[in-house]
Amino acid sequence: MPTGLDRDFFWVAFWLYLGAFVLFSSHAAVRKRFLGIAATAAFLVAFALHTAGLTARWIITTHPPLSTMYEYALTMAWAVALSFLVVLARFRRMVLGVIVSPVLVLVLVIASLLPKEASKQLMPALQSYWFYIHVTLAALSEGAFIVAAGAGIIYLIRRKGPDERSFLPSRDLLEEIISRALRVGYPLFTIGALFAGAIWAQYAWGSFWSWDPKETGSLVLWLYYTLLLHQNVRGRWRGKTLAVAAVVGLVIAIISFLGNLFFGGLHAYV
Amino acid sequence: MNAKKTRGEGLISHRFAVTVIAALLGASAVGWIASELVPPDFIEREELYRSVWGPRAAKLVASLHLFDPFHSAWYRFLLAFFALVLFLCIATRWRRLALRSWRVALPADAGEISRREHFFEFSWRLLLSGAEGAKDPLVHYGESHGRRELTEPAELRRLFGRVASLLGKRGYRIVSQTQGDAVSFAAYSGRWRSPGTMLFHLGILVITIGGVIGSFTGWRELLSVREGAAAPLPPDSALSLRVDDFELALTGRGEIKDFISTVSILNERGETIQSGVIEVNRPMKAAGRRIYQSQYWVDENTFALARIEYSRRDRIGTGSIVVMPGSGTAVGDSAVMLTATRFLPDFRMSPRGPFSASSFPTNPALEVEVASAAGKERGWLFLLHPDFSKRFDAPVDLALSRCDPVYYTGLEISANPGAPVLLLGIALATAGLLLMYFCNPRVLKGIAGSESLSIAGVEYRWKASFEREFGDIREAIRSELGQRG
Repeated sequence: MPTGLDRDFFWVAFWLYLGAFVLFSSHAAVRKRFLGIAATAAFLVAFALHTAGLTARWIITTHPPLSTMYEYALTMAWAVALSFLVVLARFRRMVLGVIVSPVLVLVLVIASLLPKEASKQLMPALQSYWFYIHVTLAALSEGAFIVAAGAGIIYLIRRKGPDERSFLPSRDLLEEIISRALRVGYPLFTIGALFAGAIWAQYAWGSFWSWDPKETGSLVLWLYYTLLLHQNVRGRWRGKTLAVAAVVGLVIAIISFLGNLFFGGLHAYV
Repeated sequence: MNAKKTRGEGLISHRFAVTVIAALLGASAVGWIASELVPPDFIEREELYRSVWGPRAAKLVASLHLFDPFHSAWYRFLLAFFALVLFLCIATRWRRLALRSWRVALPADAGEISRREHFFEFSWRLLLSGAEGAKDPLVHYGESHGRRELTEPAELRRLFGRVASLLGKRGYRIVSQTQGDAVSFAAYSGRWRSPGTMLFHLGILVITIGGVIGSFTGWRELLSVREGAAAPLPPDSALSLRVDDFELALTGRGEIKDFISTVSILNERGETIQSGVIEVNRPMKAAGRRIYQSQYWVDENTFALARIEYSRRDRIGTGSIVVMPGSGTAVGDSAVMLTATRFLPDFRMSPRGPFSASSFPTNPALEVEVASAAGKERGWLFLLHPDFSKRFDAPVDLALSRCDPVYYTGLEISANPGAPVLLLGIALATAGLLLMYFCNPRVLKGIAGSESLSIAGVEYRWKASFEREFGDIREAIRSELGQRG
């Protein structure tokens, strides 16, 4: 397989996601159904190419594409796209693509700035099945958090009360999407990022927890979402507050995700 | 009894628990930022930082232990307080946490159902006649004026059975009770959620306890041992660890595949009591300790063995010689003598001369002194870049073909009596999370009376989805019972 094939797939997928964003935005602006269908079609093709790119990368490197920040960003973007498609299939609200597709474009732009060398050899510490559990679940959970934040942004844009003319989903539905995305992301993050990471650290480094910057960032993120869900269960953080909280959660997740680029530590894999 | 329970539950209110989580979140965020801003060598170089930052800032950092915030008294206190609050939360609310979705009460009366937001009522007569099942005006009239159109008890049981079967197919469990001429029932799904909540909270508490046990009774130490040497095995010196071999496994492209130590544990008399191989992610258990392959270093000042290929320029002749550190070696049968004078594992040049950029054999280079009739001369031979090797005046061309560095293996020795507790906590919390978030609890309550069927949704997680499901159930009952049978 040609070594640059994966990048070609990602490159085309990037332009299609961008095209889907333009079409989703046009769909929201002029309210023509065919634009929404075209946007969804572009998004589906982009997702297929994105999947093909990850598969090609897997074949080229001979290991799942999770070992560098570049590969992780691409996998996380894939998880976001998958989460969006699940939400789309369930709630049939194409307009959510207005938020999700630019987020995907942004993640792919960030990925394009990271080193892309395809190494066939995983560094020794990463040669553990815990690595795949840890990183896959963390990527999926962050994908769900991004969807929650995206729905939160639409919630904040959406006018209060029934609006027959609005193309945006109802606030009740958006709140449910935020709530569901958080309730998918939180257990995946807890099990994958914290528990699986701690067990793997015990096997690799002889300690469950080392207060490494990435570990601390994950703990802060986990405590934040724990607080959010407790408040939500109490009936406090609902509606607008929940939407704002989901967006703030994403900001903390981004700081935690990019933390090792600035802070170094045991998770300093670039 | 009730008052007692209320007092117990009031001891740790939900609001208080949330406040403690928020405090721990804030403290962790402060620690996260502080550990990046304050250099870890603050204590050793406090005077320097005092002069740079000013006495107030330095005093604040020192008093709050901000150079190592997660081992400070204030953070530990907060963690302990969090564990205490979590314990009290579980101890005082375990019944509610564990059994809330497990125990479903039957509806007390029709009023309890009809007040709900999600509610529908069908008249048996209209439903069975296929007339859309709307509220029967005759029933209204009958209810108002005492006239009743009774469904026979046997028929009612049959009809209720069909409703129960329909709900059962949708994943609901049914509990029912016949009261007079009516059947009151509750249908519930996802009841494992509450035990899941309990398990998750218990798991987090057990993890915290495991962490505390580990932090007070556990220890870890990094042991750096040269290949072939032995060192006392921490924490006592009764046993020692000898590194019999250290191997750095590389791929064809020079990437590190693995690093492996073969070690022996020796008793006081120097007898081997255990030996084994330690790889990254594959620790070894020995004498109650775990030994992890953590790091490795290369001795920057010496090497174990080097092989140099030579070809003579004065006449035809090629071969190779093995060079040991510090000793002179004749180059074949020529009069040229070669001595290795310096080894650098990661050769770099600077204005002040060559130096090693790291302890890793990224660019191994050997400095040799060549003595011949032309005199003594020195130059570098490079393992990975032979074109850059020095061409000597002596009538031999030299190329470094192998250079084995002297390795030090970095082994992490640790014991953590809290590890099994911590793993138990992780297992409990994981099981709890799966139950909590992948069970979708919904409760319907209803009364099948002699004239009508009333059903209300009394508990759900997501309003919009439940509204859809409730509407589907209503339509399913309408179409199922509307077909006489």
